[in-house]
Amino acid sequence: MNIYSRTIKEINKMLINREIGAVELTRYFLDNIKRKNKEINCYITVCEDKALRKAEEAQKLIDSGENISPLCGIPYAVKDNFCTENIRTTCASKMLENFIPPYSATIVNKLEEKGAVILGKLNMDEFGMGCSSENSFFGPVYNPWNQEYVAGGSSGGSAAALAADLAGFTLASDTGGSIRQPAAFCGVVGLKPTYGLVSRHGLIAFASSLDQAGPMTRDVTDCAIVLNEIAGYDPMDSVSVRKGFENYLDGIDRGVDGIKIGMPEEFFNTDFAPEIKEAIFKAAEELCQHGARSYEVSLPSVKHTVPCYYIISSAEASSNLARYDGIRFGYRNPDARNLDELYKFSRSEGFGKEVKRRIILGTFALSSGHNDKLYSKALKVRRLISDEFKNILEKVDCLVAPVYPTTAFKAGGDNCKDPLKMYLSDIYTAAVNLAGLPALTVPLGLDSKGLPIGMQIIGKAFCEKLLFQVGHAIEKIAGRIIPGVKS
Amino acid sequence: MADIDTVKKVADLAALSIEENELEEYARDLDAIIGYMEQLSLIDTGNIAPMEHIVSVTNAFREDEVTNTDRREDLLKSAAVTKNNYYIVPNVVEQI
Amino acid sequence: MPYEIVIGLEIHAELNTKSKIFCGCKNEFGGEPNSNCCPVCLGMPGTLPVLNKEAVIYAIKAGLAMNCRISEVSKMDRKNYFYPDMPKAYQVSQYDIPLCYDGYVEIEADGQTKNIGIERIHLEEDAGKLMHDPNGQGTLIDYNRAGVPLIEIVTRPDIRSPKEARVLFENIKSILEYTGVCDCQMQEGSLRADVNLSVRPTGQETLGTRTEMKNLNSFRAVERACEAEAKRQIELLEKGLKVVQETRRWDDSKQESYPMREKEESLDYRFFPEPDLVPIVVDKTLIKNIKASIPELPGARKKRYINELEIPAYDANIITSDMKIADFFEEATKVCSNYKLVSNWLLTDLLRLVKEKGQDVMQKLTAQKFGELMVYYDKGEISQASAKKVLDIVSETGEEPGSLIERLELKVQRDENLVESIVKKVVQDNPKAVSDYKSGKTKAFGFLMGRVMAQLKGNGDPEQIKRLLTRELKSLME
Repeated sequence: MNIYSRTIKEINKMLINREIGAVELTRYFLDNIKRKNKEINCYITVCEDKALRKAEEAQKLIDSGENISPLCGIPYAVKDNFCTENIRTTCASKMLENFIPPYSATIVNKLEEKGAVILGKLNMDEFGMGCSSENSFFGPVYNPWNQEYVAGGSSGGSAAALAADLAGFTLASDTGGSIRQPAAFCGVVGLKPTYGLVSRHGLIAFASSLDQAGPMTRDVTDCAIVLNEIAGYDPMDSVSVRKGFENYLDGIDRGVDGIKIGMPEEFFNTDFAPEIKEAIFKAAEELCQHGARSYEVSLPSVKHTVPCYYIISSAEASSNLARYDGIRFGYRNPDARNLDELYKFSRSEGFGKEVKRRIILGTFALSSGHNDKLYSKALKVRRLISDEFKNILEKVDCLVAPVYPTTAFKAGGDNCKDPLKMYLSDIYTAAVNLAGLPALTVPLGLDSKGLPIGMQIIGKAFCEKLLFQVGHAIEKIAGRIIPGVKS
Repeated sequence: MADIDTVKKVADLAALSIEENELEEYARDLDAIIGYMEQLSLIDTGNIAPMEHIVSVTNAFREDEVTNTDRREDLLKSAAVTKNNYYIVPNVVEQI
Repeated sequence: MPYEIVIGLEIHAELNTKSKIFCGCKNEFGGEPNSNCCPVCLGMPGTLPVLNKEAVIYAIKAGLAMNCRISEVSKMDRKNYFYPDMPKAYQVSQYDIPLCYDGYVEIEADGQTKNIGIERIHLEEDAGKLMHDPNGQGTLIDYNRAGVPLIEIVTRPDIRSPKEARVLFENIKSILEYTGVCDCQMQEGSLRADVNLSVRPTGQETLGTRTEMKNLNSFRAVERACEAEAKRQIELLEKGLKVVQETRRWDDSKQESYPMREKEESLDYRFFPEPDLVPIVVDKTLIKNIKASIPELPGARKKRYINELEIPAYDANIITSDMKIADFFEEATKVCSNYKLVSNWLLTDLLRLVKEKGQDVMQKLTAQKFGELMVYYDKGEISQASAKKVLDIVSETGEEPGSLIERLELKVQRDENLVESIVKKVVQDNPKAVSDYKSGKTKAFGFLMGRVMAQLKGNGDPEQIKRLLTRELKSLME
């Protein structure tokens, strides 16, 4: 039986129809991991015993014939910045190399309750800081489409595991594009939900006001299925929003008739790969043929996204990462002779270079004498950007935009040599985090190098449903792309 | 502008020590990044209030209830070094 | 040259909540090391704070009791610094928008009444405790106190003498106690003060350079530290030297302060709004409800005792300075309405017992029984000596004063016929004393009275005995 790259929806049907057992399914993925993880390096930790145990439990649930969650028995994996009780959680950092949390993230608990089967923890850029998943203490993640290329970041492991068929779906987090960009690089679907929709409890903080957890899946329908299970108010996360349950599958295939799509000129006038531009224009055109209308719109302040984003995210990170002092958890330098050495040696040895660079930047931006010009100013610019998005999204239903200036780039190159250049590439994604809005990455086929092209659809706060509706329409037009399978 | 002294000072504030041979690189990167970021000062944000919170949620409170029990054993395990159920650091000269 | 002393206080008070400020751990003093801790208050990765509603209410209550205005919208901020007692390496506090601001507390010192301005009261979390490892080189950390809710009360520099500083601290303590905001166990550190002090030549407008002294945890320490620091600063200025702005530590045992070593950079706290917490919005209804829950405060009570109950100011001050005593007084006066009598007995005999036997005696005794006893005494049904005896016993055993008086037969005997017959008998039985009296030895009268009182087992009414004995002796002399 061929289960290669099947969607959750398909697998769920097979489980219910007893075409496959949950344990057999889990073994399939565990075998795939054993075969392919060496090359892709998307898993940091695999929890085989727990996965098999959970699969057995899931099978019992399925056999009980009761109404089960569509995720029951579905093997999934989690970005390694979500805490998982009794499973090592590293943030891809030497700092947390041996950290085994005595608690789980709320959304991991939710999935556990639904009977989903956890396979392991996924590689990433250390603490979420990076765009290639090469800033990892556990080595870089490679793109399953072509292993000479990166998988994107920071959730590179989450995207690569899906593309390589090493999980049924994955959890990831997005602070400035960390779900959407690797999803685009690996040709999968990734959602950055509205800030406050999905609990952050147990998600190890990078930048608290920007971090949002979200799913990566093979198609848009799967994405809605997973969001149905992980969204919702959590009393453990003060910023989470109280909202009634919404079924994100409702109306997903309604089509795009009458939908107004905005194309921000400040995005499309920038310099990015012509093949991506072409693909997005073509997709927009086809959406219009299906009844949508597209408009050129303007967001004049988005050009300030990158400085605004890097000041705020680094400032928050400098504070969030201050707790790693070697005392209560994490790496501790054994030779420190005094408190100052304990702090400095533990932190300098425990953190990688990019993390340290951002801590320095963030500390500088908050320090007296610079705060007004940098941090406080960035908070004001953030409101400008956010207001512009809000106003535009009163006029159109959603925006479409590129995700990254290029498709996946070569691994091991000079990607991180010039940090500023690297930061500038976040222009399309980070504005969405500043505004707290939802955005969905969907694949648009392959470029001439055979690498996936993605685009993002940005919506109003808490209007994920519309994103799925538009994304579903695009998927119908562009088709799914699967490594090794001609589309 | 950011120079080596700035990096040293900021690193100290962040409890990081940067190797001597890396100082220059950090200074160069920081200088370039800060230089770029200062473009924000050109934007007129006259009467715009800083965006301190993203969601419109207010008063997210918990009730005053004791819900936790003693999990010392579990929690102390995460520390590299402990002593008699205490966390421990090298002697802090100035005592509080 | 005469100098003026300028003092401001920063008072930290731990709030009387059941749980910590951001997690469901017990807010309790003591306990096994690190036993009242969880991933949240240890700052473990991925954990998030959720604000304790009661902590907010207590802070507002303290603010209202100190005549503060309450911020309609306030927020929490992060104060960033590395120290091993602070698990997250930042303290969640309030920076530019405190919950309460612009209030005052009335004090009376050196015969003058004045208001000391309260600049702000803000909400924050306490830190853990460090202690030297007795058998090693290290410093041990107990995070049980980390995350205990605190308010910081910052006064304006309106205080002009060490005595005023002490009285203000005492008054604030009483207010916190009356409102139930803080248990004020100073020896446990739940109430502590920092002192900012400067001196300037009298008449000079600008303030002198100030120093800060940290963690003073008794009224005496505050007063003495102020005295010593003012003296030190004046001596420096007299010598033509300058006061250095610095933080100093007061050593109460040595009665002197010395500068604390501090890193210059550690003063850059890089405050910014806490992104993990949302704004606190206080509406009028909440303020109204909290106001309604505030009991009559010490200042108002004192005035009422003086003006309505006619208690001397000195006594009223002592009674109201401790809420437990004031409440006891209030309860007792519901039973016995001779306020002055109750106040006298409370301040002398009861406080003596408390001093000798501890606070427990008040629980045993109860204000109700104390009041009942005062009624017996006030009506003349028992003698002063008996009343003291009953007080002693009841405060040990908790027995009802009425039944105790009955059992020990302490009631004053006033049966005119009975007393008269005893008087007659005593006069008959003591001819020597009678003849002494007749020959003008007045001392003999006292002796005879004592005999009568003894026959009555001490429960005679001296006035009555005196009257009857005089009459009897007079009749003999005629």
